[in-house]
Amino acid sequence: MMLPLRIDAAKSIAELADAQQKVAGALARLARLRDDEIEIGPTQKEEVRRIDKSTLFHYALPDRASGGRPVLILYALVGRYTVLDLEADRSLVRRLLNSGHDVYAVDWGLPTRADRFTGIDDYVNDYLDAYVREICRRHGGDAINLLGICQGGVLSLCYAALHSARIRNLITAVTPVDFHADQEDERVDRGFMNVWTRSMSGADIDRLVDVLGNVPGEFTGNLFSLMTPGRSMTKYNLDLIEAAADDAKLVNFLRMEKWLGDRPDQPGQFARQWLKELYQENKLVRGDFVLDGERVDLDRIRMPVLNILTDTDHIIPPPMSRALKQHVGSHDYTELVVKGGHIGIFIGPRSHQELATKITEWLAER
Amino acid sequence: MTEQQNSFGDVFAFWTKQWETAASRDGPFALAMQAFDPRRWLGMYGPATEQPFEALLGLPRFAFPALDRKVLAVAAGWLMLLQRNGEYGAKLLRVWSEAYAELFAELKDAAAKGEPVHAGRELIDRFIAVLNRKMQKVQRSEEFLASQRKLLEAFLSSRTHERELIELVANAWDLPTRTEIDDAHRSVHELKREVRALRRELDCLRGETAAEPSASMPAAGGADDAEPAARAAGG
Repeated sequence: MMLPLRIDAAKSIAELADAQQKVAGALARLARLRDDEIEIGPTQKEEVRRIDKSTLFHYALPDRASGGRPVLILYALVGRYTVLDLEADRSLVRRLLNSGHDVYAVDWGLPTRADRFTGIDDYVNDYLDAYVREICRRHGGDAINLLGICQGGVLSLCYAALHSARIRNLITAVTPVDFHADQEDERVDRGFMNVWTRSMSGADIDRLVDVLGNVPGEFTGNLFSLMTPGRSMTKYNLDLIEAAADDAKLVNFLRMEKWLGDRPDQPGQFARQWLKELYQENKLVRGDFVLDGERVDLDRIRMPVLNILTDTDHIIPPPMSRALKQHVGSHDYTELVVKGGHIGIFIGPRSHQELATKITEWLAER
Repeated sequence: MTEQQNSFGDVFAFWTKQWETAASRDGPFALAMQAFDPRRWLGMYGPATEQPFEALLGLPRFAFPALDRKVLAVAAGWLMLLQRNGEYGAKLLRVWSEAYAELFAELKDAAAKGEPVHAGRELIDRFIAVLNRKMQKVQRSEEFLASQRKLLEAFLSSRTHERELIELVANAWDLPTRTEIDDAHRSVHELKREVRALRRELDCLRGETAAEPSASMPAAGGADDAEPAARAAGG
């Protein structure tokens, strides 16, 4: 019988020596770098308005005059908006600016315990509404284009349903809509967040929020790590050593690390609504989701809608996003499937470019 | 033997008996000592033997400030957390063991097909792939999710007990507590919401006043639900 391992001793020693060399090289490269050299969010921007911890930014390129159609980007609260402008060559913001758009983005900031009572109502009807009005005022119009990503997509949907006259075109990307649709196509490598949240009772979520105040960023980060256990285990050894073989790759690796390490806490009330009312009770598609006493009726979304998703999203399984088509009232609905992961589509060298091009083309037709 | 010596002997015998009872298998001291048994932290006892501190904390309470009870609750919380962590760790360990077994089976199959592993890195990659697959499957199982839930509950419970103890001490020193600060934040939050709502109403009223139609002027849109007058402008 053949032995399962045919590892040649001499080859193994060479392999070990090579690995040692890589580790030494990685350590030397890491020692040369300084944190301030790992820059993220390089595109120039000005603060337009600030409410509590959130800020509205307006981007600009020095060689390009602004004045195009305004697009407001809303990123999730679980991560910082800076991922959309990770570096000059991998920046969705910059691609959109280069395509002639006037780009705004909301930074939700880093909520502290003082923000534990801030809920989705506040994010939609106070912060977002104030920022949309501000952009309308600056541009002299009544409506803007809104691009919501992941949790930001849900906020965008709520806003578009409750303040439809303010949104000219709505773009959602990797956005959960039907929070139970993961069960239509259940796979072990995706949708762990859905399974985990449904395994808890409503009382468990209440207790989590009551005791911790906010849901800590580290807690959410750990949940994300559980989704790809193998990758999480090899990240700081095998992957880092591989990445460190090349200066540019190492800086990219560290840039992502810097972004991941900047994971904000979820305000308690926001997390309670998000986990209980949306993940557990699926109120958004059931038509029972209520903000400030008003029901969020997705059927009231009548403006053109572009829904962007990826078939390899392990955080938001595609059926969750695809469900939007059945619930919006718009007759101008377009679904765009992009290659890449949940984050990869915004930072992949080709995918973010493709994304910006498709968004620009879609908007140009409307 | 004198009468006094006899009386002392009776009292001593009585106390010895009481201490023996306290230290007996089910007595409070023995129960407390059980909590320090490392096997308990690793979840190697069955579900019938829950945290022994619970037995002590369940004793009747008196009206005086219960600092000792709070300290005991914190210790109980920590030990419960250790126990749940041990139980969770034991489940993880089982997944690793099963992954090793699966890897060996896979390697055997590969060898039978004439495709043995030739390099150390290849072996690591294969193991990581097997473990990843195994973990993704197991962590969705009800047994694993229940274990995570229990671990989280133990953490939250321990945190609550810690806070109760700290707040007892803080109150004694007239220091603000987390609960009081949370109350203040709630009030500030509610006031901010009211201010914003009033501001919106005021803006609406101002808009209506400004747009009070003269006989020849069309009404200007201002409210949220009004269809924008010029959709194309700027947007």
